[in-house]
Amino acid sequence: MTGPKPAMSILDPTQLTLMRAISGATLRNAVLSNNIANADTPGFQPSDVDFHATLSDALDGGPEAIEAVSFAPEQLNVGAMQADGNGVSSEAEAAKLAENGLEIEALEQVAGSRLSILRTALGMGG
Amino acid sequence: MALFDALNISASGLTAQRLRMDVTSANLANAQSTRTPEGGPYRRQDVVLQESSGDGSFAGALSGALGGGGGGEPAGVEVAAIVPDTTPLRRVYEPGSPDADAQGYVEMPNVNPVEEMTDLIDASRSYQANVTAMQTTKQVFAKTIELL
Amino acid sequence: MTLPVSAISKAAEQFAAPRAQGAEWSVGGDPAARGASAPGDPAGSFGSMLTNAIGDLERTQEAAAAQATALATGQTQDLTSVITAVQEAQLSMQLAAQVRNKAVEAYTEIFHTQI
Repeated sequence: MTGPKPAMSILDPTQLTLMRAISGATLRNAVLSNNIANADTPGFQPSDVDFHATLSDALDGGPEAIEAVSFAPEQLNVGAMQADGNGVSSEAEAAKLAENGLEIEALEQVAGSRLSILRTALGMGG
Repeated sequence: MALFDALNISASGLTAQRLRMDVTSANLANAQSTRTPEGGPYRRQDVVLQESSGDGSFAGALSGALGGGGGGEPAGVEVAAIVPDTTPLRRVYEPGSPDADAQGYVEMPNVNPVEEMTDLIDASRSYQANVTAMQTTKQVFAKTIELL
Repeated sequence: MTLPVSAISKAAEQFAAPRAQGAEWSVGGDPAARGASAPGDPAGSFGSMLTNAIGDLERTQEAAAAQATALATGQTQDLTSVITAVQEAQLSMQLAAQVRNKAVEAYTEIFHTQI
């Protein structure tokens, strides 16, 4: 989620955490897709995004820290899986990608449900 | 947006693997070609892949301008070049052939059909992996829109 | 999420507070002065029902928030419990909203009948 962030949010820290987790997981989706696309590129080493850890660390800092957290891909130097120095195991990447996709869906489901709770509390239907 | 990026990245993988398959097919088709437009027998072609840097694409420039992070952004794969294989050509003794040299040897393409078939299967497997990746991303997209 | 819950809590407290302590009704003035205090204090038992509902609500909301945070930080092993907690929180909120709506309805009706 790039772009200007509001000064104060109607959303509580848990909702912000969920939103940032979705952001991080979405970046991870792109990074893992990149690993799969480069599965045959000589010398290529796969990367990953540990958004869980980044978010965990930011939780202690309160809402501002959570909103400000940024995710970055980290290269995993796993050595050579193939003769040309490529380090990608397509099966492992595919498994990570599938798991990550399901996690995004779960996070979105929970985030959506909590928003509907907020709407109910505010007296709006749905 | 990272989800669109992921689709483009997977698409670049599909393109690259597709090209690999095309080149492998061309190698197989020309395994017996002793004459080419450039003169001489066919030389096996090889595809050189490299990780895409994403520069020059509109999405890359846009995310860069928005401060989305420069280096380290995943951008997919691209074909750097299609180069001829430098392995020596095979010399087959065939004095009756019109392409035979003074000693009766014909230079045949350095194409090994077994190797080409392996490459074809590998490229096709990688292609499938990129398809699956794209489907996962699309599923996430669909779920996101459903919750909107 | 905490803002509407605390507002409902305050309203519940006002309903449940006994007349003798001087209820802090902020809307419509003190009903004791209007002679609206009912014998046997049925408003108290309704009020305590409301308070209980609010207590349940706060608990389910907090449980759901904890589960959601665990999911976001990758510490949850069981997706089912996360979804269950969130569903429970959703139902609790819907129940509390219904109780609130009925309470407000009854309240306005009572004050309309004064006149």
